[in-house]
Amino acid sequence: MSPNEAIRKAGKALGTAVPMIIGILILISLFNAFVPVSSYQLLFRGTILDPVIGALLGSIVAGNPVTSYIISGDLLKQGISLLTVTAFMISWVTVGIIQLPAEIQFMGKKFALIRNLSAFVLSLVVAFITVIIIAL
Amino acid sequence: MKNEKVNKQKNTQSKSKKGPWIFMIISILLFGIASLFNHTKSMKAVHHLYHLMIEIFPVLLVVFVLMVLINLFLKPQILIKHMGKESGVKGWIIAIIAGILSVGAIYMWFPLLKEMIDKGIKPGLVAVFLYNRGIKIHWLPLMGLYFGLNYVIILTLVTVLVSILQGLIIDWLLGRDSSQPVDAD
Repeated sequence: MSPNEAIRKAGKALGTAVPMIIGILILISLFNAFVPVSSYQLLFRGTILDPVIGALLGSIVAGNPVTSYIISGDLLKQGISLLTVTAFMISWVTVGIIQLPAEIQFMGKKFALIRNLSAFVLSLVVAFITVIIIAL
Repeated sequence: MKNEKVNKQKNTQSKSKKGPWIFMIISILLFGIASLFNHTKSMKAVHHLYHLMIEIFPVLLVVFVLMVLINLFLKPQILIKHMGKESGVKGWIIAIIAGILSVGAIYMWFPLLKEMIDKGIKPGLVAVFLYNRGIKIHWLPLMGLYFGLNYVIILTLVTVLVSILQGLIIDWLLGRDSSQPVDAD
């Protein structure tokens, strides 16, 4: 690939990401202004289930990883645990419920299901190990 | 069958190009509707949005440079060459690096990955590649902005190590099938 082509391709990829980033920033700003902090407690109640809920959410939603960073950074500011936020971010990028039909079509049902299921469990493992190391 | 797949892929790509713009327009419309109902809170949202943008957009320049470098140096043919069944540790390392450096939507990689498995690459290596796609090296500066450099380094290293575990799990569970091409059709 020539340098010009590489720049063009990068510009195109970033050009697709920028409107998504702007959209997410608008929604987060609106959410912060209109929804009270206490509402986060409805979903994340500070129990041991929080990381599982975070991982489930991350598995269902799809999109550019940068979106998950922005949302996670905001969740962290609202007092949601680093463990939950990490599980959410990792499952966002490693589990793909929405793209599962495409993955099954190309890679086979067994591969796709085992890969996504193990990625879900491992997102919790990654979160636990990361948080433990940081706490040391 | 192949033509169907190509057409489906083209449709998905076209939808994915329009998707972000539609999403942005819907967000702006929602903002407009919200400001009709509560002007004070909307102004608070504008203030918050301004600060978020000031924070994020300079980092996008770094992201752009990293994307250009990845486009210049990652070639799919090299992956197929170095990730065969007998590739050993080298195959795992290449799967990790390729996954980290790969760009583009995941579904764009599925046809190539299917071809790679058909050509004899272990499913575990493909799983490692897919898991490491979770590490977006060009977006890491932005992650660092929110979580700090220490967190980014630890999370990245743990993700790489756990990806190997997933590869081993996949190879163990699909062990018998891995000598045969994946029957996806």
